[in-house]
Amino acid sequence: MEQKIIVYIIIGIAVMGALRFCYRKLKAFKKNKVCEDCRSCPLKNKCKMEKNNSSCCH
Amino acid sequence: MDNSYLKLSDIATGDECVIIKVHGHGSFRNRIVEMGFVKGEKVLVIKNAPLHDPIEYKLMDSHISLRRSEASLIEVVRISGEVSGGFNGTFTEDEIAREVYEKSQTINIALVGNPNSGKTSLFNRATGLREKVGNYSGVTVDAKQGVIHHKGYTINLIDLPGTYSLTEYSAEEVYVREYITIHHPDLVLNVVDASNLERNLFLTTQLIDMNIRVVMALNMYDELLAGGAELNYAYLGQLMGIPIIPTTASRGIGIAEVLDKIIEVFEDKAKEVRHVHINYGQEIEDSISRIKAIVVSNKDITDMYVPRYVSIKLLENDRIMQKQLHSVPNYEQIISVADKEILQLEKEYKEDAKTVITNAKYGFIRGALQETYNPGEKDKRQLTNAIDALLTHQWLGFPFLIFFMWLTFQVTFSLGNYPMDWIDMGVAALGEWVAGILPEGPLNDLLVNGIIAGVGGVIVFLPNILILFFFISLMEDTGYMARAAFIMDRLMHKIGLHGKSFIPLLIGFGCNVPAIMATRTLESRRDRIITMLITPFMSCSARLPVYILLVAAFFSKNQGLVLVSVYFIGIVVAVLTALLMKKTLFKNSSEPFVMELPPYRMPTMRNILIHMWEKAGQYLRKMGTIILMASILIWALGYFPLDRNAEADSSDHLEQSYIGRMGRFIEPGLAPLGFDWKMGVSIVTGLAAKEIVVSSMGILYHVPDAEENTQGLVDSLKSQVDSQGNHIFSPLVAYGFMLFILIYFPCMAVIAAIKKEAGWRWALFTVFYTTGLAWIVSFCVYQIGSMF
Repeated sequence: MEQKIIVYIIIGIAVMGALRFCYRKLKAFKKNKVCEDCRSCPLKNKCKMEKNNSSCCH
Repeated sequence: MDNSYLKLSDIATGDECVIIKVHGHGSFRNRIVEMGFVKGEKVLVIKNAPLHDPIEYKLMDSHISLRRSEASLIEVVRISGEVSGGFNGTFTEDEIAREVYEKSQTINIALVGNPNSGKTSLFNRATGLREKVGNYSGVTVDAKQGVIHHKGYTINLIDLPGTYSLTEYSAEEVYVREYITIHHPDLVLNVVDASNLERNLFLTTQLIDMNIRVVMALNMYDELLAGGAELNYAYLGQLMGIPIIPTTASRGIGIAEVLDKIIEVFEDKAKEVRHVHINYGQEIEDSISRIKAIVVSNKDITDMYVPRYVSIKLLENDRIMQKQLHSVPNYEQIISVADKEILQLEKEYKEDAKTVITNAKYGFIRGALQETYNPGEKDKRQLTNAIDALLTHQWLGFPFLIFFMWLTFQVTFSLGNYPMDWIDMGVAALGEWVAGILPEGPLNDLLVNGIIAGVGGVIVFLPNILILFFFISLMEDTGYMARAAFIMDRLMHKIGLHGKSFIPLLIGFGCNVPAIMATRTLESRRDRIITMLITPFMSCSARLPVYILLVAAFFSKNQGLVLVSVYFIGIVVAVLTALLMKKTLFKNSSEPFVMELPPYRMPTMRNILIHMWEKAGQYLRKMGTIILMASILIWALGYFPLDRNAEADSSDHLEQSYIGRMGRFIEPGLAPLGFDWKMGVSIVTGLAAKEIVVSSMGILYHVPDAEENTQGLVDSLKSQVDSQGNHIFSPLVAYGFMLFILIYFPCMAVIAAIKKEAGWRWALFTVFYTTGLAWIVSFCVYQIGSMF
């Protein structure tokens, strides 16, 4: 039973992660961004703070 | 890249701000500064005129009106009204002083220079970032920003794509030119290849015409000295009115001196800085003066550009400048005077005006170099020429190219096998250990058959990926990449493409996304689109694990050759696609081949290791994110719904699971290719990223038998049988599957890149064309192969 609960939690996290992944990809797709833009973004480490000002991270 | 600043014209009526910097140049800048618009002064916006232009400001107790275009060149910080972050009120004097200090201690620098002059090397050394560098033109295709803190200043360094001039010939030229004129960097850092001075200084003369503040980094200065040449760079700087600092960016030499000089120039303390007018000769100078006389009355234009620069551009018949002037009241008069002057010059010189001006610029450069430069006795390209005599030989060039490609894949496979086996053993041992310590149950199953089988199945290929990137880096850094394009030009031309298209295609062997972005270096849109459409057929490193897995399982002999053949078929499919495009959608002729062959350079271990390290990081990040998620979800879809009558890890149960039902649904579409439903599911999951194909196979084919719990994936694939007991995989099916993976839908990131570069239509075309073609090719391989 315990194992089942842990498995359900892990699957739940994976589903959330997959949804987030798809959401971010779609958002980036809409904004015409590709992963290279983000990889080379100088603000990538502080995006959470500056995401409104940053044009490269999404 | 967002590098814009808050402009005085953006401040609302009634709000107050403090001046940080006055951009623009020449008479505009002098006039505005003399009126009191200087750093630290407070400005209050009184009102906008009825048509929102001009705007009335209060400054030093006097009221001044400025046009919106003029106000947009003044950088400010807002000190009252609503500011970002929702604050709505007034700042204290201390806060204002701190804000003004911080902003005024920021210098925005644009890195401008010829392709392959070492801009990105300098950028990386100065900022500590790791942007991609290589010994060929066009590595940087987009602006990159880095921040340096030096002597109390914050320096924003913008690495721009390389360009030979600031005309309108290619997209990069227009991009760099617009960056300078629209973003108004405080200073341009002109990176000049010291081993190729004459051509590099041509761009410098255009910067001189623009009358902007420039510091020159004389890069690869060590090569100039090694070649026995001598250069009095201090005197050259005096002649050009630009401070020159010798650097060797790849080794970090001279970077600190460049930064010191930037600050000196920014603070107006550099003695070398003076505005120089390049003397174009009496006739051209007279023409410039006559055009200048009618341009000068248009403040909107002269606030942005110096009138002399506008006049030179008009004489060069520059369409971008003509377009920018279109809105000025005396546009017709300006154009008519410019046309008259162009005609007169052409009559005088018997050449078109642009060539006349270019010749005059080169005349200035030659004159300056005659005074300062002694080329020495040694032939600088002696070694390069000797190597080129072999590697780009008429008959030997191709065999060498094929040999290098074969060597790359052979070593990737054979050398990579050792660490691959070690990691595989480690993954198997981990699986056994986890299975041993956890009691039987779903968690045990998830960890062993889901996460460890899925992620572990992909992670074993990390050494192969690193070896592949080692070879790609080696080719890029030595300068062989440009030679490959040179060798291939004839063939590329036959399929209607430019030799330069070969570079994005080669980059595609690493990853298709930067390859798609690298098509920006191609001048013609037609070449760009065709190259983009065929790039997905260049087998990227993410597909390599699938090949290595299947080659190891089903082709015990000639593994390197089988691997090369898959890549070769990708190239053939690309060639045929390009030919098809040439005959149908793009019938125009291709551009002439103009490409620089850089000298061979010894690659630095640092660069190669950085490149490999970055790739390893990206690969491992994928393992911990998307592949981990996908492994869990695929396992869950294969585990549920639980059938009480079947064992959770049996084949029957897998077939009845959600993923089994999905697989069965798509199986009829793939059966003619010889694929079973598990291969179908792996293909579908590979849409997100190609590595997931192996991870899916690791989970779906990892059905442990009763005796051996940790059977390797290679052995597991070999032993797969269908309900009639026939082997699912044969060398023919495996080869067809490899070709399907090679040709079908590249991955979401590549489609996004194509959409970004070429638009929706071509992105959708790629989705359907590649997938349809993959089906046809695999069908032909399986059906024809089955006859024998």
